[in-house]
Amino acid sequence: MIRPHAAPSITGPAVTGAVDAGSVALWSLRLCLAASVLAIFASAMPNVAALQLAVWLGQDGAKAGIGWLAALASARAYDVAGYGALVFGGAVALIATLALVEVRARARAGPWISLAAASLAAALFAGRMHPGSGTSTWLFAAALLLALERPGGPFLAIGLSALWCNFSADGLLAPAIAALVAAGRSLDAGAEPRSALPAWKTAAGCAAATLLNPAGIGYWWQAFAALRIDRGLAAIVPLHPVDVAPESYRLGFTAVVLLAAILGPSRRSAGDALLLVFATMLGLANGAFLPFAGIVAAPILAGAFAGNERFPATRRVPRGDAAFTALVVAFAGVVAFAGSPQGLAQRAAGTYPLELIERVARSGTPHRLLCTTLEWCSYAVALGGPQLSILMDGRIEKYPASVLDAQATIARTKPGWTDRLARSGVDAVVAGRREPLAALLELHGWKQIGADDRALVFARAAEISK
Amino acid sequence: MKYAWLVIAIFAARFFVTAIAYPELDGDLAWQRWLGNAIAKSGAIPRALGPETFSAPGAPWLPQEWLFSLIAARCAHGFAWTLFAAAVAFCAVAALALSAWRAERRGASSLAVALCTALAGIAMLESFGVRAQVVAWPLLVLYLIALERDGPWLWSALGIAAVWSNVHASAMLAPFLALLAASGSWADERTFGRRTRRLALLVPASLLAICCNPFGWHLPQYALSLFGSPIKSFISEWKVTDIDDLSFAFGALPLLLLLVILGTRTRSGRVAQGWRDTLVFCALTGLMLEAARNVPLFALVALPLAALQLTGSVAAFSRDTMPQSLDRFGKLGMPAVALGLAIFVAAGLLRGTASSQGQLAETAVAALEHIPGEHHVFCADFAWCGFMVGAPHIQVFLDGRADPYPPRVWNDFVAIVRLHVGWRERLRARSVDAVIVARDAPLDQALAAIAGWRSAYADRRYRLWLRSGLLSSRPGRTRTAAKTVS
Repeated sequence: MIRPHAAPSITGPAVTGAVDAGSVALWSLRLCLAASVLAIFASAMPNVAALQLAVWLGQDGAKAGIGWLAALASARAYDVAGYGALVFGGAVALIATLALVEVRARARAGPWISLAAASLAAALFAGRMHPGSGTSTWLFAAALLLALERPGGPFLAIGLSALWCNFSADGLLAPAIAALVAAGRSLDAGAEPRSALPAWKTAAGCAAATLLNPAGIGYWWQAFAALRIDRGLAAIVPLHPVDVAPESYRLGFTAVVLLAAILGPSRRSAGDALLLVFATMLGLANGAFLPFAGIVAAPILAGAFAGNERFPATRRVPRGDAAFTALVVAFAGVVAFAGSPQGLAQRAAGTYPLELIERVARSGTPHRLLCTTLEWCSYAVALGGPQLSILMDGRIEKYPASVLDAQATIARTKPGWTDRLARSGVDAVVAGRREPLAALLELHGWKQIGADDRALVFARAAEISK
Repeated sequence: MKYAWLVIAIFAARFFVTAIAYPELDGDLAWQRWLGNAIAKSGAIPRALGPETFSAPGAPWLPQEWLFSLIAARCAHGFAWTLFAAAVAFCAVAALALSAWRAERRGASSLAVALCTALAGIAMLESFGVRAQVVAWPLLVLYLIALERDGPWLWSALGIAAVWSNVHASAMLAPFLALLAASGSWADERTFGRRTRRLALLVPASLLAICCNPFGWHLPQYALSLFGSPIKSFISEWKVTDIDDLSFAFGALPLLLLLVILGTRTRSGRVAQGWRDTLVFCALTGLMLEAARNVPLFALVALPLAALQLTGSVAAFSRDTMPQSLDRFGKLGMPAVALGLAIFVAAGLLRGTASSQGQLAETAVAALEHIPGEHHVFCADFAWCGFMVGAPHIQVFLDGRADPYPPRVWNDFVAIVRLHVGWRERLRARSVDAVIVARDAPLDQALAAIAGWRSAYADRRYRLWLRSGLLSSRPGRTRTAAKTVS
């Protein structure tokens, strides 16, 4: 086992500097960070497809399934103030997440380093600071981690787990996180294994709490599918960190890995080590989870930094404050650059051929649609109406393996794709302009009925002649 | 090292058998032999693409692998080839062994060294082949060992850097490593002491040393230009490292996670690692996360650090926990077991199906070479066209030399392979009249669906397409070479 150094356990906060919450400078920086997040959210092009789908699902709870509570909340918020409410809600959730990261880090490292930790966590959100990117997940993750570290937190952790599972499929992470914390306690406990028993009870409670949702025990496999960590799904959805969140991977994730290697924070606590490895693996398996790596790692790194003999100046010399202020500002700059409105708008514009899909949905002709990018079909679902059905949309957990296979075969033009296309009854396809399927459909006699900068829409020739 | 030898023996068997029995992993060897012959014949290194390509003749070219190519051409057949392939395999084994020895020398326990050597060996598997970069692996480790020396041996780094620059452009790492070592030394000592000054002096000296090659300062310039080159996104070796890469997932990633958990710096007991190691590790980690081709380099650098940290931090790997019985076995029985395992692995590989035969469209290439007349050939995997560089009557669109082809050629290549809008026009504008493509790939399906192309050869994996009317329009050509194997 890892030999623990003389260092605090995950439950034993090592306050290495006086908490200076009243400091004007400190609060200015916090507000600055929060305002940056809010500004980026407000100016970013939202993930319209996901928002539309959430609102549509929320209007009828029976359709929602996993994540019904988030859908319901989205629908109600949309009814009150349209997309503005969703944008504001997402921004508030993210700011609250960063605040919780800072609180968790403050217990280990004091106010200035914790602010830098929150900024580091923000760097892992780079490029994903827009509504519709599952911001509630991050809030629940940060809150659960905090609850698990606090002496009176077990009940809160179990409650959070139950709520999280009703909000999203990512709630499945709750028992995993709790179990890793408990395993860490067991390893750290050494000769006194009983001292880790409460942590294991909490983990069991969190696991039981995942059943408290309409899907019951079915939540486990549905949620596992929705986590998109099965590598087989890479054929139909982007999973690689560079495809999903390139800025976050290149800036934040690399920084986290390097800082962890330099500071060696996990030597102090097996729980920290397990969480760090879990978060790293999850981020590599599905780039959408890179922010989770920041939420987990930032406070751990802050604690290691504050407790590291190599950096005494940060606590003992006043100029350390200035250094960290500069660090925070630098991170804010990086985050602002990476998540700049122009960049996000470009990405969003390059992702959603919304008008095209609307045109197909409202063409008056019934269509069975296939989209090479699943979120496009999510938008088609959200538009509703009896005229349009789809082969598959972004709710992967809803579809059997045969449909996933058909989607992968057709979208990737694997051998036999024409037969699968014919058998599936699809008569309209939305394909990216630069995808081979677009060219091949044309060669197979499909008629192009719409186009924009991002995508082309094809209809089966027989349908056109009708 | 006693347990590490066991691991090294297994990987040695794998490397030697792969190199000697299945050398053609990416088609590069074919054009490198052609290059070597061209150098031997003319007595000069070509500095531009020639008539072997029709898409970019005259484009500037810096054949960094000139020395490797020259030797590969001289040792193309018979026992000389076996010796050459074995020498390349020896380089990989030497890199692994040197790295393990580096860990042992610095105080890592035998068990820790063995575990980390196994992980590093796995990290090297996918990149291994009879390739110039493999020859550069031991040079990287030797350079790092030289940097650790205090006496006159420190200056041997310059000789290593000079040799390295004649083998592969990754020699550009040498001055950067010296810079990182100097910075780390300064951070460790907190003073600009004698050692730091010598390392700092080694930075410009190494920069000069890597100019000691036929290309002079153009080599480092070329290496630096690759960092921002747009063509990297089209080459699989340059793609960003993915957890689906086996060498990363089961070799480099465990090493990285070990160091994420244990840290890179310790000052307890015999183990002493400071900023010097940490900075080098950070640089290689960044390179590895950015490109899959750097996975082996990272592993060779991370091996000693991870082994040392395991020794210092994990009780099961510490030096004083070795059972005496195991220790005796390590001294007496291990060489025999290592030899036995190596023979077992080699025999298994030779009897298995690991052959690279049929992986590189050689049969389709041979079919085209038998069709008389002039051909402008486009390979859907540009590496396959490496076999046809310099072939009589054949000019390639893009081949494994890759780097010298300008971005406009690459853009056309990607547009055609991925059927972007206007792909047919590009194919026509480039006067391509032969295409080699994997069966059922999108381009294969597209060529089957359009008029003007006919299949001239097909087997289970590949198909050769010829532009229809080509044979009738060019005198002297026949259709006899066309055949179909299913």
